[in-house]
Amino acid sequence: MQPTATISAVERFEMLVQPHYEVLYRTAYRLTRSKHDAEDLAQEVCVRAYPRLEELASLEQPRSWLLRVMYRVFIDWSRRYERSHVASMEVVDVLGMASEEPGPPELAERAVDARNLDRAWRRLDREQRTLLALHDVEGRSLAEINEITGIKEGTLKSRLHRSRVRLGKLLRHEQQTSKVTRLRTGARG
Amino acid sequence: MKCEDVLIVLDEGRPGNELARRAAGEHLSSCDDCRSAAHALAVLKAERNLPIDPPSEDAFRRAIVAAASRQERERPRRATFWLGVGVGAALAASVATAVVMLRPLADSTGFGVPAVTLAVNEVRNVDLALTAPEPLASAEIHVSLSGEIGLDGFADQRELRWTTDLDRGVNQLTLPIVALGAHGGQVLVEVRYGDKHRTFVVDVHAVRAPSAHALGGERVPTIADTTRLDGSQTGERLVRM
Repeated sequence: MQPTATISAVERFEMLVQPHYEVLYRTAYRLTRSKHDAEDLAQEVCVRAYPRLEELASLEQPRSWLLRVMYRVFIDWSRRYERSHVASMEVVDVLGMASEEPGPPELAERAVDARNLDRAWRRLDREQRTLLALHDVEGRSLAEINEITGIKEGTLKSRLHRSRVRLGKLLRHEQQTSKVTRLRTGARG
Repeated sequence: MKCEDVLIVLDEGRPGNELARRAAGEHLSSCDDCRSAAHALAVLKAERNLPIDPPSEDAFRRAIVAAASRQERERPRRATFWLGVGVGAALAASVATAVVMLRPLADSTGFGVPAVTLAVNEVRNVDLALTAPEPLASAEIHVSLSGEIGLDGFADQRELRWTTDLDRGVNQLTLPIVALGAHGGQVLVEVRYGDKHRTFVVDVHAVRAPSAHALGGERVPTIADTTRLDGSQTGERLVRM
């Protein structure tokens, strides 16, 4: 292939994806709760989509198509990644606890809540994370989620409920654990 | 009322449906699962209004480069997975073993230092060969520049990062390096796979006069294997961008 043809394809792809990159990144961030991972996930979507440039160009709703790709990538993301990520999250937690400084109790409380949610989130399976991120955080309808995931709406409803129940219980557990930790360390909050 | 309908009724709050709301409220007060679900929903809805970390400035550009690079690499009978075909300094690295192998790809000078000399403003395609003992899915490649060098066609970008599959054997990466000033610089290539991590530096020397013959033949004792295994080894020439 001549360089000019390659450049043209790249530019075309860039023009098609750029209007949706913000949504892709934001959705990826909701799924992963990490800037670095969100960038990686959005990038992997681009990698998977690029060879299907013609198909992408022919779509009326490229955003849904790209989100479908993201869903599949996220669900298939390797176990290796999962393990390494969990490790890095622990490092963040340790640093957070070690550097806790006096400040408004609300801020400290919010930081603890965010950590609790991070930890609980990692213990959900990927489909649960996807449903909660898309529906409860992003506010997408069951019909939209059906389009992205291919899961029937009736099934989505029951899975969404189970996902919330599990997250709620995990959060409760994390809150109890963090209370104990704060009592032991004498941290404010 | 089924558990899965309770929060939908309460959440949607359709007018004129007070009976259903009352029934949902009663259910909620007596169902532990639904209270957990309601708590989770409240936490997640609060998340909706919180700002998120914005992506890095060049994240989109890197994604496009990664997408195009993967496509080029997977094209049959294509020797390189980036721009152009050229010969320059070369190195080979095994990212899945503890031993780093340096092996010139062309310009067979034996086990030498990966360095290349360019004239100022000269663009040279520099081939890097990453040798993998087995297929490595989703290896992370990070290229960063320091000093007075650049990547031709990538404007002011000093870093590129993407994920790619490495085939068993030699995987060739071609970088269009340009010398921007007489001080030259360094190209740092980092390959990460699982908990394995390799970082290599290629020195780029620059000369004022046109340099037609100084290709990759120099031996400057600056090879920096900045391998980090379990964080225990860090070479002294690790360039932090």
